[in-house]
Amino acid sequence: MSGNVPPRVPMLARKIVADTRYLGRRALGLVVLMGLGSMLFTGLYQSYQNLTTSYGYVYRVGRFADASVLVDSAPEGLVRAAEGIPHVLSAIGRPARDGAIKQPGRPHERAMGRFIGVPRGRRPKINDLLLTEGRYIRGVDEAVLEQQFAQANDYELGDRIQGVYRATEREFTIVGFATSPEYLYPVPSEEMSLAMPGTFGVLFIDDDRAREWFGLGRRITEIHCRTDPGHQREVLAKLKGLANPYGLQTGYIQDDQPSKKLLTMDQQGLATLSVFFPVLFLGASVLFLYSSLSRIVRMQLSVIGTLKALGFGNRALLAQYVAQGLLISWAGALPGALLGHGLSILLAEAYADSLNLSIVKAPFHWDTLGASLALAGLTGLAGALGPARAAARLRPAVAMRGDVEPDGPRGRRNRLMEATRCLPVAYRIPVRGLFRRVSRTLLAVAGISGGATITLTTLGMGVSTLDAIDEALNRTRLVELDVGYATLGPGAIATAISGLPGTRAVSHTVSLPVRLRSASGEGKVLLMGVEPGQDMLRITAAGGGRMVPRKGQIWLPRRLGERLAVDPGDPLRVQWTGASRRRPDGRTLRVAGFIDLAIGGVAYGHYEDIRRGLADRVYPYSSYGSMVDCVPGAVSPLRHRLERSDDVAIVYTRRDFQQQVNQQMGIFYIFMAVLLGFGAVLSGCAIQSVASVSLLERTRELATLRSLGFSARATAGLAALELYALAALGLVVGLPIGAHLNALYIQSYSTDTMTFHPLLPPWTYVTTAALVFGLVAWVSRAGRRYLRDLDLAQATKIRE
Amino acid sequence: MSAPGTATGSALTARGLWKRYAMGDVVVEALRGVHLDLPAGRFVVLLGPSGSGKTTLLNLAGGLDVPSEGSLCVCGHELHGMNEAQLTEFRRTTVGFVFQLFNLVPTLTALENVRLVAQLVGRDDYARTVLEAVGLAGQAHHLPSQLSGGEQQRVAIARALVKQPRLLLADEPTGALDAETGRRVISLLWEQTRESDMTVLMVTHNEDLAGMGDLVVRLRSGEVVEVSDGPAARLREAPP
Repeated sequence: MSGNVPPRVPMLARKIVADTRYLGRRALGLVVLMGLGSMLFTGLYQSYQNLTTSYGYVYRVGRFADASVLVDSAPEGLVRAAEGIPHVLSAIGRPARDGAIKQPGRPHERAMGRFIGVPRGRRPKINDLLLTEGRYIRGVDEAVLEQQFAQANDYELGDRIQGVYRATEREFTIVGFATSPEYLYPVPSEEMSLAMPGTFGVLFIDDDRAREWFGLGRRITEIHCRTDPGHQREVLAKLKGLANPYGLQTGYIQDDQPSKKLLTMDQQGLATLSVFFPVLFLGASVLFLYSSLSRIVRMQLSVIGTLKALGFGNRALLAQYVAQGLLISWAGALPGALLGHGLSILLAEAYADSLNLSIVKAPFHWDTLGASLALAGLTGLAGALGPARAAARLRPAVAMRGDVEPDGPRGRRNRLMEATRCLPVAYRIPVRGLFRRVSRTLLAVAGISGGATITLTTLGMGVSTLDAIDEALNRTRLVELDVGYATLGPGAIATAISGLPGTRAVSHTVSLPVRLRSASGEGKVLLMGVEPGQDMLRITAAGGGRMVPRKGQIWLPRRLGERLAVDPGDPLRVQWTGASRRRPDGRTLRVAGFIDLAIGGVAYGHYEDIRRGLADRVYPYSSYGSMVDCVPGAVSPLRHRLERSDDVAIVYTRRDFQQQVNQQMGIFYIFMAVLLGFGAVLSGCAIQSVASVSLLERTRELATLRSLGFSARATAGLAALELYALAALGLVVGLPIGAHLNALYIQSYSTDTMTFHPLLPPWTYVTTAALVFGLVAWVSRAGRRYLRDLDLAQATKIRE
Repeated sequence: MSAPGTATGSALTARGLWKRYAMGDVVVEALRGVHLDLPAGRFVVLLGPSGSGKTTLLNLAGGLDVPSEGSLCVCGHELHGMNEAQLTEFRRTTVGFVFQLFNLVPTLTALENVRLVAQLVGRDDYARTVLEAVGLAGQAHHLPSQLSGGEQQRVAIARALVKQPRLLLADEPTGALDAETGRRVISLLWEQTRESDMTVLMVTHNEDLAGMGDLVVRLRSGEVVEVSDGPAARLREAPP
């Protein structure tokens, strides 16, 4: 028989199962840990896939445009010219304009409205609508309403809805609700970072009625094309060339379409989560598996020696322990992945709910299941290989003697002896225990630090998010109502508002989307003009001090400033995003400084300056309005009064903003709760694992102490001391790593419009430490019970 | 300190002592109504084949286990009905253990292993003396892993002796040692008995070691089958 051919492998297989059963709770703990890791990975990654699939379904079925241009107005013939561009499969032209929706008696009596003309009686070739209820339009006075807005404002089929465009009103009967690929994330433009399902409504109306209402005749304002795959940018460039003479406002390929772009950015957080946290879990699983199998190998030294003496080869022993690692890993990973599938459906539904999406596709992703099992296999292999190789390399005589020198060089050991000599003898046991097997201590520290890392990172995410919301809602904006005007004449409207009962202060605002060009880069942002003397918007400049708007200057979001590589004083070309050769509206402003708000991504300038220099020239593409402060209790009456005025396009209260933020952050809170739970479980598993190793590996030693006259409490106290020391070491390592990872995570979640600050106030460290020490205390109690109930007669004879 | 063999009273008195273990569905009777009187200050050898109940009797005597039935009085302490705290106190003050596998704390040196118990009973100064008495003054700062089996067992004896127990319980103390080292360890134990009024109760299945005892108790199937003076006692009591 060849030395490396395992004889009677089936018996070795039985030994694997028996050894795993012997590990008992520890094996169960490992299986649970692997299961949690797989569940988290499958759950998060699959929910990311589910959302991508769901969105992909809407984009595919809705025949989402690959390239689009928006113009002031262009002849219909331009569509045929667009169809002639190489690689264009089909093209449509349509009229679309922004205005207001009047809806007396509904939660928002006025809302921003976008009115889009679609063919009557037949579906659009591009940017089709996915009806969720009702039917498509047949008559000129019928409309299909975007379903998120409909849901937020309690619309039912058959309801009448009133649109206002430049003081001209039209009324439509709602015959259907639909999901549109263009408005899955309901925002009017890329510069608006928060979804606005309740205050931004899209109304799909008869094409001819739209042209007549907008005064366009046979002209159109948008061209959308479907292209051959991979030719989107090329087509867009040519399309822009065609559209330029007609007042090109903007053009984008599908991935840059405002709704899709913001939705993709929103999903990035989920994608990061789906990799970041499972990796921590699987890393911890590697450590625990390593420590458990090392323990088995240590306990079976004489068995290993005997097996080798009997003729089992190195490869057979290596295979045995590797197989055991894989068995434990897959035993946890398989049910974990299946549970993860269920979790993914729940998470995707919760996510979709937070955006009022009605379409959620949750197929079983076999690739993710495969990846999950492969990851578990790798985890098992990584955790088992070390102990397996150690077992395989043991010389039979050494193994059968069963005596292993404590690791660490003798010189270091002697120094440790000296260093701990000042302690009472009993206390030297736990302190030296830390150095008894350095590898075990390192593993324990790694496990505990992993749990602490997850906990601190999750707490950090929560704190940073809540701080960002608090900053946006309470610290910087002391505005009770934001009012958007429907007509020009801001001075008169503001004067009228300031005369209304309950009003304390009114300050003008103006905003428009702009393109910024520096010597090194280009970016888009919403530019807002505010009055220098106002006190409702208290924005702190990066580096301290209040942001004060000055003529000829612009304050930039810090991240955008970094991207444009500009410093205070540098010139910046500021143009309305719709500026074209025909309408080269723009001017040069100097960078005043940077602002560091977490939510928003808005640039600020001087009200008069922005108004006269930019906004007046591009009206109605700019928005005039005011910030209003009022006495408590006057918000609601003021809002209703303003919403009934034809001069007002939209009224937005602080509560609306809060609800909008909360709705959007709902899914984030769920994630945080899930992750905190998982972090606590990981810490618990680590500590439980360390504790059980401390107790089980040293049962004879501890039983001997009890036989010598130490009480169960004192003996358990000595064991617990070591555990507390390990926990402290784990925190010393885990807290800085957690702080660093938190910063990395927050950074990875940042976009131009959302830049969370990585905040970790002292209480987050204290809470993490309290959680870890609390778990140690809990586990130590169990240890005390174990030692109290120990059969001393048996335990003093155990061979360790 | 009394002269060897002159200590008065009983070190151990067992009356109708039963110990039953449940092993699955089977109840094993390790001790079956043992009656035994061991006088104090003697070196008692407990002999018997495997499974005869000798280790069980030793464990009961040391308060490591509790009898199923009967009474057991060790050095004036009635063990029946003692709670855990009382048993701990009993083990701390009355009995000393020497284990077959030495059971030293691996991270403490030889001296520290002895001081561990010395501090527990307030005799810290005595630790080095005892270690010297077992001939290990030169190895005081060695870890157990740096000592031979015989040296480790001598440390274990020093650890047991440092609290001056009235009853020293040794369970196969030579089981892990070669014959020569084993003999030296037993001699050491025997000498310690001679120098104090301590009683030694040593379990062994080695008939050769029975010759070291003042008293030999033979067990078979959980019952005491013979109590006899050992050669050592006979030698001591022989006329000069």
